[in-house]
Amino acid sequence: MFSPLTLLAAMFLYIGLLFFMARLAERSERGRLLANHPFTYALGLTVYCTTWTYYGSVGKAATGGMGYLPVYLGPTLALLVGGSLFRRIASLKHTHRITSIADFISARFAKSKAVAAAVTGILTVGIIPYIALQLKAANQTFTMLVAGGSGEHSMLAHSFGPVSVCLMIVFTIVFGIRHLDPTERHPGMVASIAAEAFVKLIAFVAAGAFVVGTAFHGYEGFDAALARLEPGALPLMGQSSPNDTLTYVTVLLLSMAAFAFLPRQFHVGIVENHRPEDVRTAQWATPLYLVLINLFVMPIALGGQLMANSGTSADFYVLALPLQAGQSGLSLAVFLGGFSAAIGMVMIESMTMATMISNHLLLPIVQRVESLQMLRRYVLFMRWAAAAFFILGGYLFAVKIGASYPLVAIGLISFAAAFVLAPVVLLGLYWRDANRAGALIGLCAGGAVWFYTLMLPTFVKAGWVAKSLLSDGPFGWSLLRPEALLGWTGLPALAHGVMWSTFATLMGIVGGSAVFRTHRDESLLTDGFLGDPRKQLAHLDATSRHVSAAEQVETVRPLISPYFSPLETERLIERALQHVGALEQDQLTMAECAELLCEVERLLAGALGAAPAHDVMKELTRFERRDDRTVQLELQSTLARLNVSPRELEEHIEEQNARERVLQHELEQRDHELAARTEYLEGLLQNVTFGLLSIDRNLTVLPGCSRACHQLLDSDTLVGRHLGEILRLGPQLRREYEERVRELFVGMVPMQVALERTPQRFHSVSGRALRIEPRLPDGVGRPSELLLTISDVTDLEHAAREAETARALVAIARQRPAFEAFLEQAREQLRLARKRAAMDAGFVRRVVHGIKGNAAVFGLSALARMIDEIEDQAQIEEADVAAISEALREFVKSHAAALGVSFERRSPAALSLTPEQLEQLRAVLKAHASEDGIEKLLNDVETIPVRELLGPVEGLVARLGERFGKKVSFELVGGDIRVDRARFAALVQTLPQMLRNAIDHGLETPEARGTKPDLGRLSLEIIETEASLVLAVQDDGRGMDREAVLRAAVLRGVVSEANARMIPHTDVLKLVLRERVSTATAVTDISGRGYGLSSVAAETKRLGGDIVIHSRVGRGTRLEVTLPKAPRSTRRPSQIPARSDTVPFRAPPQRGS
Amino acid sequence: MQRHPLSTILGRPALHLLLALAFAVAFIWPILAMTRPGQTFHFLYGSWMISLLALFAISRATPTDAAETLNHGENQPDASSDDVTRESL
Repeated sequence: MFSPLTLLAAMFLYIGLLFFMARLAERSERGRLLANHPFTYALGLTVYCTTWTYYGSVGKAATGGMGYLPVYLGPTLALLVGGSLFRRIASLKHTHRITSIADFISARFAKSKAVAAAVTGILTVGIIPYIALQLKAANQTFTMLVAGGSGEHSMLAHSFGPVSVCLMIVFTIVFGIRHLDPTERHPGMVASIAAEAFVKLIAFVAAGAFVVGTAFHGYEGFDAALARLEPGALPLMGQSSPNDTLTYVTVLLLSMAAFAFLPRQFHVGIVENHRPEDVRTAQWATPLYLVLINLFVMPIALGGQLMANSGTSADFYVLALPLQAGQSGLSLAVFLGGFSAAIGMVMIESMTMATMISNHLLLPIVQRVESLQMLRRYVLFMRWAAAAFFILGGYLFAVKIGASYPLVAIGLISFAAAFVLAPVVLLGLYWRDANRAGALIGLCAGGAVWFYTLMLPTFVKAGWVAKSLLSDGPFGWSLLRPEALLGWTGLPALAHGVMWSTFATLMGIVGGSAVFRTHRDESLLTDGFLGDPRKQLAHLDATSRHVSAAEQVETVRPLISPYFSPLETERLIERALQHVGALEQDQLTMAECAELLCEVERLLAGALGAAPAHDVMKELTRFERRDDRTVQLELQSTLARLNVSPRELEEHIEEQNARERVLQHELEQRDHELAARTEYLEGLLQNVTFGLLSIDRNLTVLPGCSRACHQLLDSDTLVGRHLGEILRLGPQLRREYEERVRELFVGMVPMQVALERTPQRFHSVSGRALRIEPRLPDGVGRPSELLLTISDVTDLEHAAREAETARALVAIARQRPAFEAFLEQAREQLRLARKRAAMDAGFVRRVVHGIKGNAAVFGLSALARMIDEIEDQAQIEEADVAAISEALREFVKSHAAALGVSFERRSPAALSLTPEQLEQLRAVLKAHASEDGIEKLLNDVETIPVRELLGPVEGLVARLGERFGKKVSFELVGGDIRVDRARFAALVQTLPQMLRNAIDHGLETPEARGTKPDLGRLSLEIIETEASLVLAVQDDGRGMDREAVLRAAVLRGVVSEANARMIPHTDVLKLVLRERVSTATAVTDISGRGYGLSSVAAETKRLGGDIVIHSRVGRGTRLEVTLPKAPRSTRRPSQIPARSDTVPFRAPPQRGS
Repeated sequence: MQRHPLSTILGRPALHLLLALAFAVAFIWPILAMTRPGQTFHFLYGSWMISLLALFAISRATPTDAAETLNHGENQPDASSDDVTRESL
């Protein structure tokens, strides 16, 4: 009816849908919820209904009457009597991480590998016929469907058997064992099994309804047909032979055990169990399913006898009847339902058997045989191979033997194999004395008898073994006939085999357990397995302590009291109780009791030494006989939790002890090495010339400073003292140092930045120059102490000062006129400053600020530093000005010979004439020179090139650029223009301050210049026009931020916040010309105080000039000072250069002026 | 939580065993005693249905057997699902 390809396509489509469902169940939250639903679990259990149910039951009903029914009544009874047993096994699975029936039985018998292997062996041989049953059914139904179709004689139709085997292998691997799953549950697979259960039920019921409708025209017709049946027409319906009845009862018993102990049933029912509680739903839902799927078995069987073509096997009435009626859709549905029944069973059974075979048969061999140990990496492939072997074995059985048996008969052989396990499991669970030896003997004996009485006859019927074996027994021993063992004839073969195999199993397990002694370890594990640790140990937890703390204390006290005073004894006991956490407890658990005694021994060892303490405690009987059981339970609980046998636990402990000994040995070696190393380092530290000490976050010196520290810091006592006190730091430096150290400890700024910002130059009490460098001890996170290295740099500093002075003298010699001009200007301004010190603080600050800038220009670093410190003061006093004056005077005086200048008087050189000028003057006078000539001569005498007034500004720019890490290209334009010395000297000498500002705040470091060239451009231009002189400083730095200027002005109180908002945008920049207004974020010794530009502004105002500022954020700043050549009263307004794009600014009046 | 007396009774394993024995007899007796095939069929299916009702009732009952109370965390989801299996890998 169907082409083979169509059927294959339908099968693949169906499997694809199942696979999609399985993936959905595993990947999505909703899918997982569905997979873990109790009904899914209940439907999963119906994997019990295989093709045996689907096809074989009808065949059995047609030939054996009600003989098909006990297969399903058995599970109902099993769930009735064994619901609690199911839940118990499910709980044990959760506790012991059971993964298969072999695993479960071996876990009960001390995790015996031999027992697991025996179970696996029996089931491997026993289940192969069952697999054969599925393959046989699938092949025959496929053949039925393609019969009469276009592809009936195609190669595919004839070779579907091998193809189906390959498909089954692939499906099994893809669904169940495509990877080594770290969890024992497969929710996706269970979901797909549930879906298959649904499909097979619907298809079977549809077929049943069709048959009832067509053959009997409704249920009444079927009921009438049933009523018309003569008693005895069908076995077990009306008249039953004793053998039939015996077989019926036997199957009832077998199916009860099979429902629980067949590998696939155990897997779905126990291993895949999400919650033991789900068993409750399955208890009624699964039997309901069995009832539903069996409702139409008898109708189909009777309908088939009425309607089926002759020669149709009764096993396949369910498919044959729709086919005969031409119901292709229903036929395909029935085929897919049967295929579902087959594939579901094969997948689960093969998967579980593959796991058991690989884990309990192959892996032990691989682990034992040295040359095979490399296979341990290929467990997954071993599992695949086991699955393939298993399914292939089923196929061979189906081909060679299956034809001799109806489907049900094949299935019952497997049921009988599973029944061998039943006595072992039940006795294992309910008979505490059953032991490993008994289980092994029982399994081997039962399995062997099962094979001999039930499996071997199938080989005879297949022709593999001589028939005489059945009739005469092996070697003619009739007592050993497989189907009449010990001459017991008259029994049905199944009942005979089951009876003898069960007898052998029972004898084996009972006899073996009685004869062979149960090992103590096994006994412990058995108790842990059979009882619930929670209940057994319920009295051991915190809520049910039962060991009296007072009793324990009283037991311990006499042992330790001889070594301590009564008070010390009590303290020791109290500490031990506190350690255990039982100070407030009247009752202790056994674990706390043991811990208490150990702690007492440890404390005792502190006073007596370990060995004597141990001897003392040995006198104590730690556990009374009445406590033995409790200790045993503790051990069982521990074993159950660890999931190891006592022997494994002992091995672990021994291994850990050995490892601990090795570690202890290594630790001792390291201790010795460390002690030697420490001693060496301490010696080294005491002999180094530099000091090493540690301070905490409060700058308190910590113990452990090196000997050199005392000498360097001029103090015998350092530890515990404040470092600022030792160094006698001034308040400001002390505050700064404390702040920097705090930054290091708190982590407010990056560690490296904080280290760099920490002051490092100090002077000791005796005037020694010290370099104190902070170091962080190696480690993670913030330090708890700061390591300081102290070195004496007095000589170094002295040499540096000398070099500095030499450099300054060279610079001055090169620019002597400029220095003279600076000196003259400084002297005059300092004189004025001293006079106005009390009245005009702003003037004084501008003066000292200007002198500082020019001192830096000439390399007078010591003077610049001194002025910087004075500027730090809140108020600059007259004495401070005098000190500056004195320092300058002292410098000039001490180097008078080299400089050829004097601080006190105007330099003669400033008024002398050069030989050329003298010659020219002589010539003019001889020729009665004109007034213009005299004027020109005087002009030459009174003016001086700007360059000579500026001093060595190129050197200043280079030094500052290097100091701030900025690349600067400096250009001086118009440096040779001559200016009136007396009029412009003071202003020109403020220009270096503008250059300092530009370098410090204007130009950026190369990293911060973005797309601009790394080399920053800075220029000083002097432009002379007919009436004016323009001095411009320009840079291409970051420019001035108007908002920052406004904020600085408000912050300094130059303008109120309200007025700040009203200042026009174009006037904002003018605020930088006001005193103390600076956008610099930090004050340095170079700039940032806000007096540099105010000095320029004040001088410009004095000369009647203008200042114009152009600035664009990110582009740079140009500051132009325009000065009239002549005093303003004689200047023509038109001579002032006008610029439309600028913001002319008249220097604002200074406060207080 | 207060147990319903009937629930407690239905939860007793002894009752389960009794019911199982009773239904086992019910499943075997018609084979031995009944003479009409239809009677046998109807009686077996009828008693099977009744056994379902019994199963439904006891599945709702509060367990009182030792095995039940031993099942610690019975209502807990499978905590070991994500644990590493102890398969010999």
